[in-house]
Amino acid sequence: MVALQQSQDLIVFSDHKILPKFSNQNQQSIYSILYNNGTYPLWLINKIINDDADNTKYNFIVSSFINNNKFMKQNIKPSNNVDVDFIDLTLSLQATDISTIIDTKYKNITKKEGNILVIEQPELLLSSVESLTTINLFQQFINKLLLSKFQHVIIVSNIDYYSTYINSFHQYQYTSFYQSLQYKSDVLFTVKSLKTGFAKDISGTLAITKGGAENSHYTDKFKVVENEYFFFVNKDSSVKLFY
Amino acid sequence: MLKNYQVFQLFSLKENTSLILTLDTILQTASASILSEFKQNNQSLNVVYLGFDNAVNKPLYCDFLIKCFAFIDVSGKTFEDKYGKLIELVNSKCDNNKHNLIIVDNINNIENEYILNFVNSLNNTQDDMISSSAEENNNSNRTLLTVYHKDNVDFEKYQEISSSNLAISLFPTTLQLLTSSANIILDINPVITDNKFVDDEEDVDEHLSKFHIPRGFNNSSNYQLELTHKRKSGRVTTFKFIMDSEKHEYIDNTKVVKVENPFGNNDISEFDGMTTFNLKSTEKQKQAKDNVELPFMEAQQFSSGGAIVYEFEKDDDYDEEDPYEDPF
Repeated sequence: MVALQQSQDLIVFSDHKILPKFSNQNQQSIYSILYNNGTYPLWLINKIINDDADNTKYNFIVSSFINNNKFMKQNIKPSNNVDVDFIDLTLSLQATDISTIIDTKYKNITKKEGNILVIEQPELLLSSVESLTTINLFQQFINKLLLSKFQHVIIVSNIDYYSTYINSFHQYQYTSFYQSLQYKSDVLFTVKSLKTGFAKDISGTLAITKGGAENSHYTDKFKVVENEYFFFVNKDSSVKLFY
Repeated sequence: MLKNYQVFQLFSLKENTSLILTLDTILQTASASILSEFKQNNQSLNVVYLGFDNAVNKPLYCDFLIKCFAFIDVSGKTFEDKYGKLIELVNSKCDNNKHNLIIVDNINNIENEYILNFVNSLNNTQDDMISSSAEENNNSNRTLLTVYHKDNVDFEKYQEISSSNLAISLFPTTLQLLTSSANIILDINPVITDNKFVDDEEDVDEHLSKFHIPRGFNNSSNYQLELTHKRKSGRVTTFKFIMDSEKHEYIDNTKVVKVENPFGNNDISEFDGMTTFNLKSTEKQKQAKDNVELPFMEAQQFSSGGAIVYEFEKDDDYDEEDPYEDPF
């Protein structure tokens, strides 16, 4: 069966690219990758880094609050000529003030042009920093990164903490964090497992949807293509996308 | 180009409106749809956009983007300390010779207790507040538009419950404050029936409960607008529109709303050959049915007041005693 399905390229924009090519060079963007426990999308991060036609023009920086550099280096394998740096943020969860994380960890980044940040689970800061709110997390951390250090930010988040009935301060902050992601993102990647459990030839689905960010810069020729793919992770951890 | 006069009047801000409240959800955000209509309909507007949600890109429909987070003093203890710098900046970007539209996207970023301060200080310049003449205030060249995310309501309830401070828990919520003071309320929602990726509202809720956003939403070319207009006379009118922000067309949907037969359609021909009994009635049967005089028809023939129509039957036991008679 697997051999019969035709493999598809990952396409996000109508110009067949994954990363946005705005006519305005200063235009910035936020992508969100949402997953559940069991669908951790390392393969998608690899695909975004390796499959965009212009990827050699970018400088990727991969940061994670849950996986250390050793793990990330083992699993994120850039193809030739793609520039990827790793910044380990696992110990930054001990920080008491989030502004110091930017000052210490990202101090070597001086200009934002061409810089793309892949950041895993920044929402964990909501638990680790006392009385931090979603609003402050965006204002003091993600917005600051976008203002001076990065042109595009790809936020990878685990939506298992999302809840529709709010009972505590933290539950509220996590839930509003995910909602904010939808309001602020240009593109949303939702990685879902199969409703029925497991199948031999399908691992899950990847939905690409428009985010709620302002879209006045998109035109008919250049816009987000909404799509839903099946994906299948092979034993050699290569991944195939198909409809 | 199809243009409804009322909506055109609203978006061009020709009438003096001081506060517009826009309600949106994650499935249909205001920043990706309705906010572009104002500049589109009145190019002479000076649009100042306070980006809380969108703090990176200047939308094409605004003249100035203020990246709010850079101008807010998070540690500020009073309203002045915290937002003074931001309000000063907004004032400096407003053009006295044009009509100014100040968009706050979104108002959830302002603490509940500061909402009124914030709204009022953006709406009036210092001169306005000092001036006592009502006429001058009416000529204010500012309109404030606040975006409120409807999804966020739950926490305000939670805050009320958990807040140990009674004064805060009795304070009205942001939404209550804004709906009561806004002149115009724009409630925007996606058109679910036209979306082929979801079945119905229940299906959407199920997706959202897992935070899976279905495809086909945030569609700027087809969404619903419910417009509530509070007039100076006190009259409140509500209109419904189907909006297209790409072609900038608005279809009045107030009268178009279809009332569907709640009992389904009466066409039973689709059951042909599927039942073992006869569902149909012949022409003669229908006529006989129509001619049956229903028992309650007689009561309606008395022209004044109501009457009890009762025919005494053979087995009925007529009680002559007056049940209300004094027994002594």
